[in-house]
Amino acid sequence: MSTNKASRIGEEIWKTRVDKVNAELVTLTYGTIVAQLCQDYNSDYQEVNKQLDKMGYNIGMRLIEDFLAKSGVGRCANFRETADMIAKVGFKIFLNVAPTVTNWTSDNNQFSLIFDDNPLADFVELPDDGRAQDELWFSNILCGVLRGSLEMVQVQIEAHFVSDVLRGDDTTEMRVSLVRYIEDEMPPEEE
Amino acid sequence: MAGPRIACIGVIGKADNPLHISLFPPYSDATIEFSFLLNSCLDIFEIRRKQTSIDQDLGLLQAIDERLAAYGWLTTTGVKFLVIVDLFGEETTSTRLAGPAVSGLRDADLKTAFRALQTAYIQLLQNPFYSPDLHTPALGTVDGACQPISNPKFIADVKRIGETWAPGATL
Amino acid sequence: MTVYSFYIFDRHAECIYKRRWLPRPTSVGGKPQTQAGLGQTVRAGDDDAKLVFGTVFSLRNMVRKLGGEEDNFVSYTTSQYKLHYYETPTNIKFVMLTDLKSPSMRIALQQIYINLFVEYVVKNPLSPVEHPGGVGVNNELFEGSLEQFVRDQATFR
Repeated sequence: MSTNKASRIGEEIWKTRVDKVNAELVTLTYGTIVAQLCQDYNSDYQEVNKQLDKMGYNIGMRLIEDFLAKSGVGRCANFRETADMIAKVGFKIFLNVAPTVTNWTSDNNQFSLIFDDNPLADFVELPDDGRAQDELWFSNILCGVLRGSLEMVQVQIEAHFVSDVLRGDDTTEMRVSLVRYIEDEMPPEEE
Repeated sequence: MAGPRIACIGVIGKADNPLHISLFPPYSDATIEFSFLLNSCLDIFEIRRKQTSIDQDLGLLQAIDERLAAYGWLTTTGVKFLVIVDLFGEETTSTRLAGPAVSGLRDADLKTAFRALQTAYIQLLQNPFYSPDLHTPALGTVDGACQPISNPKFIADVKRIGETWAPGATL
Repeated sequence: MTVYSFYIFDRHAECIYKRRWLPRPTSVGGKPQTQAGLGQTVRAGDDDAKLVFGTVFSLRNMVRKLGGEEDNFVSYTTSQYKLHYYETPTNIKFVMLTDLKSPSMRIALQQIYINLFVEYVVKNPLSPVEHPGGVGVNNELFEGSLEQFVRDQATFR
């Protein structure tokens, strides 16, 4: 499936099958969660990143079902197709953004998602404590969402942010690596 | 000649606690004088808020002298924006006799400035890491000691508004 | 058309939901002895679910071996019943047993997935993500809607 086709599918679903909510509500809700986590973990940003990833993982495991139900798409033939599907359909229908897929490694097992626009991070300025800028990945929940949802379709990945405009970087970039394809589980042996 | 310029912008919290004060040339060093002026405006807010309940724009609060005039804006949540306008502008100090420019300023001219201030303030509030509670004096404290706004983006926004505003200018 | 039973298996090959309506006829042409009313849940042993899973699992693997990774089987028919099968990319398997007169239920199973399972089970924040032992699937909304859905299917065909 080509990138263009994925884009069309994403557009189509976004227009016809997605219930919209107010963007500020989403942004403020997410921002509050992150701010609260920072407070609860006494600004231990490594821990906050971890918690966000965990929350995302749990969301992803559910979200994938909704994604499949809405899109009706089948299994991707290769990891490149998966990347397009994530960027042009997944992010499109859930966040109305379409990050750019780029920086492939030659073995086609790693790519980057570049976010021109990140609705989760609107209005956000990281705390000015000299550490948040270096340690907190504000949108880390997205890594967890990808990890959780792909695991449900038997694709094990690792995802992390490598740069974020909130930290003063030029771009917001997430690195996604394929770990392995998971085999079907067999029923437990009869004793 | 230079038209009216903003001399001072003050953002005052619900409990009359100063949240942020920006001064603009040539008044940059007149901190005490302007604190005094802003303070005197707060009483006018008190009187006006009993009279007008609909509009946030309170218009001209008081003319302090032939140069300075204070305008006010009161949000429904009790946050006050104050703009003190220098009706002559910066360069006129040497040519004071050039004529009165006072008549030219309408309340509506200030509206753009207030709108821009309010937008900046809303953006500040939308930052999840800004905690409004830290900027509200706890009930019972006598001196109302609480931090002013330290957010660099908000301060920069206020500075930009103060420097670029002129009657009829878009912000 | 008559629906005999319905099963959902999760990605861990566990039966997370099972429901039987009319008992399958015991002999050719023989009428079922006990006329269990539509909607009456009969909880039998675990064995039939395991058998069903083993069957569809092997059948699916065989179909893929012969027809390629994209291939999948839709249904099979015996002289007694028809088994309909739908599998999501997340490896959730929906199985329905009906009588022989039934048309293809693939779309119906897909609709159960999209409109009932995703809406009432997956999107229920209080139900767990995985459903060991059927926890979270056996909620009122899902069961009620499934009931209604199957009844509608039976009436209109």
